[in-house]
Amino acid sequence: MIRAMNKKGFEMSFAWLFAIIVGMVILFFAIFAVTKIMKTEEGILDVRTSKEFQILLNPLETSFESAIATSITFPVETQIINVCDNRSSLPFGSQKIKINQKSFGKFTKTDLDVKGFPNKYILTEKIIQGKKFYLFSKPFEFPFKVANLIYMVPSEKHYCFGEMNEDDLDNIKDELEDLNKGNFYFEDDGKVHPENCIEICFNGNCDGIEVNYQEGKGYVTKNGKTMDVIGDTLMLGAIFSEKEIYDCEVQRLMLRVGSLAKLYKEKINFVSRANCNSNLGSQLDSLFEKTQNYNGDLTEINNALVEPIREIHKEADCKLW
Amino acid sequence: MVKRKKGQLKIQQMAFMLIAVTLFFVMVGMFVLVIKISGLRESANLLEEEESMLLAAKLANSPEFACGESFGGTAIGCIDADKVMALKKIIKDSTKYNKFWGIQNIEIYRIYPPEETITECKLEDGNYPDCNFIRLREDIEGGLRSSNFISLCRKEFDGTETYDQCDIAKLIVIYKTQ
Repeated sequence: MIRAMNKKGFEMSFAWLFAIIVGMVILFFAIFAVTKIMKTEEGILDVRTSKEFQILLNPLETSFESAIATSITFPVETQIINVCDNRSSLPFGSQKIKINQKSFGKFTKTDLDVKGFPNKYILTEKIIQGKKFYLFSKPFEFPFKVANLIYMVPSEKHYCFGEMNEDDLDNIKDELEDLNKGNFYFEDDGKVHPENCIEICFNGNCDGIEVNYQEGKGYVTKNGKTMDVIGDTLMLGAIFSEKEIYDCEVQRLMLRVGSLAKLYKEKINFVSRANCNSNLGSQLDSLFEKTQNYNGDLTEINNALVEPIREIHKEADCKLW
Repeated sequence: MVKRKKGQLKIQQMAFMLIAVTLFFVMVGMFVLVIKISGLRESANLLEEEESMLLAAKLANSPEFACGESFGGTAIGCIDADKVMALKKIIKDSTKYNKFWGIQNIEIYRIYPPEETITECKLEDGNYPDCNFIRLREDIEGGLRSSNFISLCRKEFDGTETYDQCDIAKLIVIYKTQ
């Protein structure tokens, strides 16, 4: 049986249909374009922030003070990603900082490439997150001044420093206390230590970071991985960073040590006209060779070359550095 | 021949209207984009300028330039002229430092004691230290400049003993805009 058609049905003219379809297409493209532009804008903002952030690090980088400190507060929750490149950006490698800021409850992700800095060395964990970050720097000498290393920790992360051996770590304890960072705790500071505090032990085993350091050398064990350290500056670097970043930055530092060794070797020729002679030429050559082919033998380079050079230079009448 | 109906004409009008509106928005979008890009370039230049100004202020303390303890004690804003000449030689022989500071060139003018003529310190002429202008790279000309006053020290010999000679100089950082 064929039912009679309902003649009260909604009738739509072709003009309406056409307008709706084209309107939908236009709306789709408009929404697509707006989303794309928003993403690009977020990316641009992240790149601009990271560039400005790296410029802000300039005063920390070349200070003469043993340890200087500052803090940076972002308006929103921010992820700072440390990108250390020791392979492609030769001859000095490069330090990049990528910044992702929270927008609509999640972190923006940018694929835009940030220009790196070959003359900066930032020691942090691969990704740190927060609104406020504490920064401080210390000069690294090997045996001459190579660079100021910059350390960066989020204010929400607490570090509890255990008992420090007075002979080896007294200076570093004073320096860290002088920084007056709200998230650094010491054994005898009389403050209540938070539960989630990262323990840093200088004597014996603990769940946190183990430091085995005597007479300016030793090693730091963090997350089950061991990092060789020479001097207070690298020791702090190993505590606040992680193995991947630490090894990369040390390799970059070695490249700069080599270049500076070459520079001082060349300087010998210029100062000799003023009867200012130096017998460090061959050792500086060896230091250049060793550091250009650096393969993780930090302690060996220090014992075989850096310490003897330091001793000879200390006694020299004519100082090269 | 089939006669055109009124409805067909309306559809045509609407189609043309929609295309015109779309084109209008595309053009507005492109216009905004052009303004945005020029703004980006401007802010990139501003960042470049800011960076070079900071660099001029801090470069003297960089290990490649700083006096360190060569002239007794640690001095801030002191450049070792002997080291700069050594650096100039290294830069001439290799491209190692070309992009290290992210700038085009670095110049140092000795301004006190004053001299009537500017004499460039050239490695091939061997006229150092009887010169008052050091340019790290001789193959690059032009660019925008930021400067800072520094003390320029070197070792000298008076026939009997070696002494430190320090003069006043101007450090100029030359950078390129985008």
